[in-house]
Amino acid sequence: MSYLIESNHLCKKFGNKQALADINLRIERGRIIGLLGPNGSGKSTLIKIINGLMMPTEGEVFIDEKKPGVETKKIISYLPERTYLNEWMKVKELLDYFEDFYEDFRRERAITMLENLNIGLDDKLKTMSKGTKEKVQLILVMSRDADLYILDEPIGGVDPAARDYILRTIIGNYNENATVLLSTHLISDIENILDEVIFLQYGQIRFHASVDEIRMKEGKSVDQLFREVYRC
Amino acid sequence: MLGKLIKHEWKAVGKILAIVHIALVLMAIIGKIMLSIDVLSEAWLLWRMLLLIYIFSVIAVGVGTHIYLAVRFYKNMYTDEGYLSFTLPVKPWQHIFSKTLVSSIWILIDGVAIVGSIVILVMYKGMGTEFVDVLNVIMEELGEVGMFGVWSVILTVITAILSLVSIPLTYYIAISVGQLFNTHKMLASVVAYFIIVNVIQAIGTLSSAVLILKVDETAEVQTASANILEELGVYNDMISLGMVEQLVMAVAFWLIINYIMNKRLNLE
Repeated sequence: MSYLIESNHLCKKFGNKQALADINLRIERGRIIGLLGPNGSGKSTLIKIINGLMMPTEGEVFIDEKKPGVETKKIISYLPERTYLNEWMKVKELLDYFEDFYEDFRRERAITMLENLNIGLDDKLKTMSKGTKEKVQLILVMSRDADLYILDEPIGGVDPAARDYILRTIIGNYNENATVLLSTHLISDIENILDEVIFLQYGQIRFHASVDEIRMKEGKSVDQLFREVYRC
Repeated sequence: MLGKLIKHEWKAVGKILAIVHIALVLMAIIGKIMLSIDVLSEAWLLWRMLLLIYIFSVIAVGVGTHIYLAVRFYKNMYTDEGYLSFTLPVKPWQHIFSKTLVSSIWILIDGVAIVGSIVILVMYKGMGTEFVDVLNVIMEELGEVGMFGVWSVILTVITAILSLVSIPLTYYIAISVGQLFNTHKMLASVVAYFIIVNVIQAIGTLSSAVLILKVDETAEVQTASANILEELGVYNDMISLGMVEQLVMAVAFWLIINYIMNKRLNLE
């Protein structure tokens, strides 16, 4: 069976700094995976390489057996950890934009979610709070029928109520063939929805296991294990 | 996808540029009306101030349009917005194409609007026919010395179009080269721009000099180079040289930008 994400000997250097070292990943379809690790452990770098926003120094990565390119971008729905939308656009114009470029974008789904979170279609991003902007972005990303959702810190900046809604949205929206890869350090909040976790440290995979395995073998929650692995 | 990129690019940059350019033309029209009804003939100080404001506006619009288009490219490709641009299911060359096309069109509109606004201001009755007459005389004269013909017009138009394309590509390549640096990317872009412009100018000057010297040799006349141009009708040679230079520039820049976006992209 082919993997949804497969990386071989993936390395990334910034000058002398080794951001990723020898990452060999195998990720299957239909999983919700937490990409966990402290700041600077290489989470965002790995995500950017998978999305084709950054070139690896060595090694390679395949998404659905293809190198990052037009075909992989069609099936990945990516939420970066920053606001990537043009400030001057209205929500309605953003919907047009996504609808134009992504065949798998479901406008109706986006409109329903926007209504639930009380965001108007004629609102301009410029006038929104940071949290609201993040919600808009997440809605756009989750309104696609993608094979792979990559969410970089999706719940960092929003209030707990919205956080619950967003998590429900993530679980509720994706189909069973799709995989969600989400990076965060708010582990306890998402622990219950995860199937697998990947712990990154100093640019290397410290740990890659299913959540059940951790609970069974180690007798710990992911949060506990995280605190032990990364004890300062 | 290419059509959609062009559409969204046009929408994104068009709003502000349209307003600014319409304002410039309106300024000229209002100025012309004020001139023709002679309200300001007494208040010469006010008149001069208004003229000064107009001149500054022309410069601001002219320079501003180019800066705006360069900044748009930088922001949309290499800052936070790049996270969306580069995850759209399109090839990098399609981004370059759509942005170059839209920028070229706006640089053309910008030029037309500036010249147009000046023409509106200085316009008088019969100016059009006078202009055509003068143009005819010049063409005739040049035609007689064998300098100018249908070919010259065609070559000139092609060269003008090519330079409309190579102007935005010069901004884009400087910005893209700046991205190759780990730090001070903006500074690197600015430095890259001045280096590129200077190198191109040097090549241009050198190649024209060689061309003139060659003409000089064959003709065995020793006059000022400007006169040589007229007497020997090397206009076509000169413009062809310019055309080839613009073409080489545009193609080379295109290939390099495409390479950087495909193989050396590193969004921070």
